[in-house]
Amino acid sequence: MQIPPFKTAFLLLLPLILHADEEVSFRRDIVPILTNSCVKCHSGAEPEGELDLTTKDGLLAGGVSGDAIITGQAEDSLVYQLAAGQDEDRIMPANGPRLTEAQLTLLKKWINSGATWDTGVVLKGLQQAALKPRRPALPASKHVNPIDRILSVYDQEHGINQPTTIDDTRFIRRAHLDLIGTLPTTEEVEAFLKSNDNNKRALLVNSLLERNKEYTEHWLTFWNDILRNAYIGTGYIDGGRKSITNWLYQALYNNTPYDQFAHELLNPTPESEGFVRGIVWRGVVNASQKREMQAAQNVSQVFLGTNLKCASCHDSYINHWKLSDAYGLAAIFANEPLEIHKCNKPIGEFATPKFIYSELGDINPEAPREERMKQLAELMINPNNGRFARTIVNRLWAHLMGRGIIEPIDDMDQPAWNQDLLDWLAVDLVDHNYDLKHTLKQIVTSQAYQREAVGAPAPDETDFVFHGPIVKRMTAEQFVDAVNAVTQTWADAPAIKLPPITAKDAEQKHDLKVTASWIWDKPDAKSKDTGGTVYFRHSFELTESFSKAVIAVTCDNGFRLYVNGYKLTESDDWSKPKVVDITKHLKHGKNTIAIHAYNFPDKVTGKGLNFSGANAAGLLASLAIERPVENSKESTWSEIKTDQHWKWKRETVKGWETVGFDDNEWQSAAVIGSLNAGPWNAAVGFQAALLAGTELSGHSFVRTSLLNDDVLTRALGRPNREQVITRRNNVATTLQAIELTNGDTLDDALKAGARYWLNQPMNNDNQLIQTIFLTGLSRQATQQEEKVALSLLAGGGTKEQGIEDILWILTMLPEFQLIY
Amino acid sequence: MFKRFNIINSDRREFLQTAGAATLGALAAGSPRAIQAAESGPEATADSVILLWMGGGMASTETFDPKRFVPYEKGMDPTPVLSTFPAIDTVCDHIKISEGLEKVASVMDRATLIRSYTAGDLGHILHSRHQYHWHTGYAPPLTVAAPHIGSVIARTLGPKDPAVPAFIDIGQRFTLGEREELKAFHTAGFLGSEYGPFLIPFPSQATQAVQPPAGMTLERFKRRYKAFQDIANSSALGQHGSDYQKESLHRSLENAYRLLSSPAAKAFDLSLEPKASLEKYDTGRFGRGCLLARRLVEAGARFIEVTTEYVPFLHWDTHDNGHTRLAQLKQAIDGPIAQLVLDLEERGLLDRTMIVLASEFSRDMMMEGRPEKKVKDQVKVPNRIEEMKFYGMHRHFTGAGSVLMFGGGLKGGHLHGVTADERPCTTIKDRVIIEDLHATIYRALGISPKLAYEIENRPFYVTRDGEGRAIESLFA
Repeated sequence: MQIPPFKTAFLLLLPLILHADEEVSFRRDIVPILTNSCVKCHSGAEPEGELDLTTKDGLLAGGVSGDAIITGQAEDSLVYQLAAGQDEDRIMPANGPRLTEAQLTLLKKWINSGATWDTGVVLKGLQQAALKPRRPALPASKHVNPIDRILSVYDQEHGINQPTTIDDTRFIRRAHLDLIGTLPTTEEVEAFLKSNDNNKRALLVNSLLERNKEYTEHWLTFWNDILRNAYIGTGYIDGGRKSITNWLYQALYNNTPYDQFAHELLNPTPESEGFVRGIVWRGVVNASQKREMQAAQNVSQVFLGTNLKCASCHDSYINHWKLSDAYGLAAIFANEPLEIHKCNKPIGEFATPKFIYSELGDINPEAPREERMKQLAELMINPNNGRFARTIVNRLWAHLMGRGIIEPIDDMDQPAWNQDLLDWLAVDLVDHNYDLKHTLKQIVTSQAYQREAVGAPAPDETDFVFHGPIVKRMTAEQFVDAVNAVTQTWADAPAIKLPPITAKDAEQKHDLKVTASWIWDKPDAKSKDTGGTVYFRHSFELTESFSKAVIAVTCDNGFRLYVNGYKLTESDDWSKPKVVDITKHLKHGKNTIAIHAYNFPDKVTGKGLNFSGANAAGLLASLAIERPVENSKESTWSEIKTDQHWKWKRETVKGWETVGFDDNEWQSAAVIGSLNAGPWNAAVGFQAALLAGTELSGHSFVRTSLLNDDVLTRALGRPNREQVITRRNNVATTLQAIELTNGDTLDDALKAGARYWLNQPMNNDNQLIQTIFLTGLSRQATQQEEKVALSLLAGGGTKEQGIEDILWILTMLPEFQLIY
Repeated sequence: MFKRFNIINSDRREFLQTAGAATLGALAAGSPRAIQAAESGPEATADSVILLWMGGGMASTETFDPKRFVPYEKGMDPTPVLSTFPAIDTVCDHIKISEGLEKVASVMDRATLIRSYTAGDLGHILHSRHQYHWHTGYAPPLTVAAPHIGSVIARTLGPKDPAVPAFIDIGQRFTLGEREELKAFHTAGFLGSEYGPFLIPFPSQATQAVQPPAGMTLERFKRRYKAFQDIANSSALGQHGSDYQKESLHRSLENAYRLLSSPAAKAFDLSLEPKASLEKYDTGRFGRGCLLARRLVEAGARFIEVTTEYVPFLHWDTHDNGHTRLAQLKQAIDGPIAQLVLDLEERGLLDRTMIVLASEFSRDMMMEGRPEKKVKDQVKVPNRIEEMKFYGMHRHFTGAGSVLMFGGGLKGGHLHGVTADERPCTTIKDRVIIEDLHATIYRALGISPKLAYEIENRPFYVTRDGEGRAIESLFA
């Protein structure tokens, strides 16, 4: 369209008004009128007057009174005539408020301009779900789990007969990934498969939920997305944003009851205030994006599963919220009186602070901001607010099952596919003191969760029927963690400083006491060593089964640790003990810990050569071994430690670090002090490090959830957390696949993994392949897979390249990347 | 009835051979639905777009809208200075541009030049925020993640050639200042990562992005993929029925494999360009980026952005030494842009390829912001200029700016918009705002400005509120 000359002139005069002649927009202007005033009755199987106003076809078809509209002629159109009140006996809408003059004008303009209806748009009547909690009776059933009792009726109604239950291998993998986010180790899988306990699945679920650190670092991803808590990002550049990481980590670790969790976010401490503070941008911001409006939108979405974004600009046409509702909630958070803006223009009124579900109670508009926020927090967790618990149990269900009981999960006014199930899970959460782990346990121990996974329903699916969990894709964080597990390579340090909670908590959990002593070759080494390397060895027999083994080592000035011939770690900072989970490196029978210890100056390592004279030297090591107690959840811990039984030699001998080496000729170590001996006084830090390490259970690496995003995790769908994200788009994309096929991040990990596996003691290539498959897929390779993998090891390149290719193939398999 | 998403049971092979990235993306659950505008627009005049991004704020009076030139003199008064370069003639009598752009001047008969682009009024001036606004058409923050214009085009039209990513971004790194802010709009946002940019920070290393990993021969790469297929197809899960998650994994890998082993990948390799041609472009990263863009358009790319790279206080972000630095910058862009136009023309591609050169806002020696809304000065200008480093356009000006366009159905030798000849050199005729500029680009591609994608039950229009209007007078 050419802009006519007169209009150009007009624009010059009024540069701010850019498009003066307002057209009627179907979406913006007409949909709200039809939705709010018409389709409640004119919809469904038997629409009033046989007039269906939810579709274009319905509108054009008319009803019992004939044509509903005559396109281009509003005055002659029945819809307009009745809405305008021209027939006093038949004013539309029959129930509810009359259309305003402005609405009538829009309707008229719309019909006159051709009554355009955007292709494919089907209007829905506005739904509003009940607010109060509801406690459905549990049906009688052969099942024990309440979810299964409810679903037994549902299954019957939908002709679903005895859905199959997945086997133990699939279950342990699914439960691990869903509850703590990582693959089970081969040892965990083996132990689980071996167990004959009828109750072993429930026991596994319990034990996973008790692995607090791993649980926390898995669910951190979920909550960071929802609470848009980023470690770096926009807003941080100039203090316009505040992290809640410390608070969140502790809340998850301590499994803070969900009502208290929400209360602390809504009526926050300085640690948790980042969520309602939102993101403040420099410059002019649209009125609907002021800090208070962000709080209103996010609080309602996160805790109540409803959308106030539309109503932040104007009365919503996707739900029943009004502009005044959004501003009322926002005003609770406002320091100053909050002026209502409609479509970014002030309307000259100020908002009254109120909760969107005002039937639950009042906010005192006169109260100061902190008091109002406290009142809001109380209303949110009010026992009559059934919506609060329903929203979170629906999120958890969706997270585990791939689809909510209500969809979309952020629109809790939509109908549930099983209202009893949703309502029951919600009251069950409240009954159990808002313990989210309880709800997780209810779901994961149900037969419903343990059914065969099914494919996702088509996007245009309308009649959803629950058959079982939907196949899910690993998140970016899960995928990278899983790759780390099969390549034995991981990040050195988290991007965030973790709050100090792990050691203390661990201490309460078991009675492990560290009694190791500082040793060296001579008793006066505490002050009079003149430097150099001492080789230490200690061998021991393991005859009973063990479930975990973690070693802590420190040495003044430095050491290299070997377990059964393999170098695992090294350090030259005695103030920071190294802690390594060596469970998989120990075996039944004889084991050997060998430590190359050195004191500055040391010619062998070339370290500290500028040192001279006598100084302190000492080695401290403690290996904690956990043994399960039969028929019990309990376990016992024992310690293998540095003491006078260790052997030493000042010169290196070939094979000194291996198990088979004969150290009969070596001398016994000298104890130079107890655990807390000076000059190191290391008892507290050393014990804490070891205890924290014992919590890690085979995954003593830095989880990806603790890192900043990178090219790979972004490609795999990690959001930048500027908006609340309650569900990631986890479909595979070509850009992702390119990153996975030739990106440096994954390629480096695979190369490191190949080196790792190449150096593992294996009887033959078949065993190597089987071990890699077990690690990555929790199952053995099939004959065919083994054959292909063997051909890669033998083909063209080096064996290391062959292993690298096997690792790539394994991590690309749908079986690896999907949660079945 | 419960329907599984199961489109390719019948003949997976055939499907895979024909499915491009667009098809794949459209299958994504949760991928937003397009809401087509009721009316249909004019027919497309372009298939591809190259956006040449002058990140950091390109002063229009020093480039495409020269005003009164006052040469440098020690102790000079800065206030009369509107340009620090003299104007030069172009092949079009009625268009003059700034010294240093002689090669662009020689192809002005193929250009449409907008001088009245007016940046959004976002208050406090922040480069990354204005860049976000330019690239998405929306001012942050937003309640949903807005897509980059390249992503909208990738989502709407798909790739031109299935083997070439639809949206390619050349020259920007995300490791320097304001990187988080830059990442925020270099994304497909709610459209889903399938439509995000394929990033090539260094044009001369572009081949690495489309090659097997470092140290892997093509032979081994092919063997690895073949072995993957053998294992994937034979696994227990491979026979475990079909679902879209699994299929989309397969297809995405296949697409990646196809690109990385295909002849199309050669387009990314600048070393295959004849030496004489390479030299014409080789003024640095931006110049090589232009050459890469040309090769990729030839290979079938849909949307390419080539940036001079935004780095705080570098390149066009001239807080000092404006004159000296602009002389260098013009040297870096002049030859490559002209050559890009000529090369595309010679290959018969200019008609269907729109080139758009733009920047987030302009600059001025004295005025910060715009006449009707001044903001706090970010650079101190001395009363007397005693040193060369103060000679240049160092303040952010949002009252006018130049956008240079070529091809894609636009007129040649055409001027649009007028700016004042005295300070403030603001727009006085035919103001162009971002919504209208985007609508113009969309119009060339046959996309309606009222097209919307549905997110959270509401429409998100490709131009704000669907109100962008194409500037029809620019089209031939």
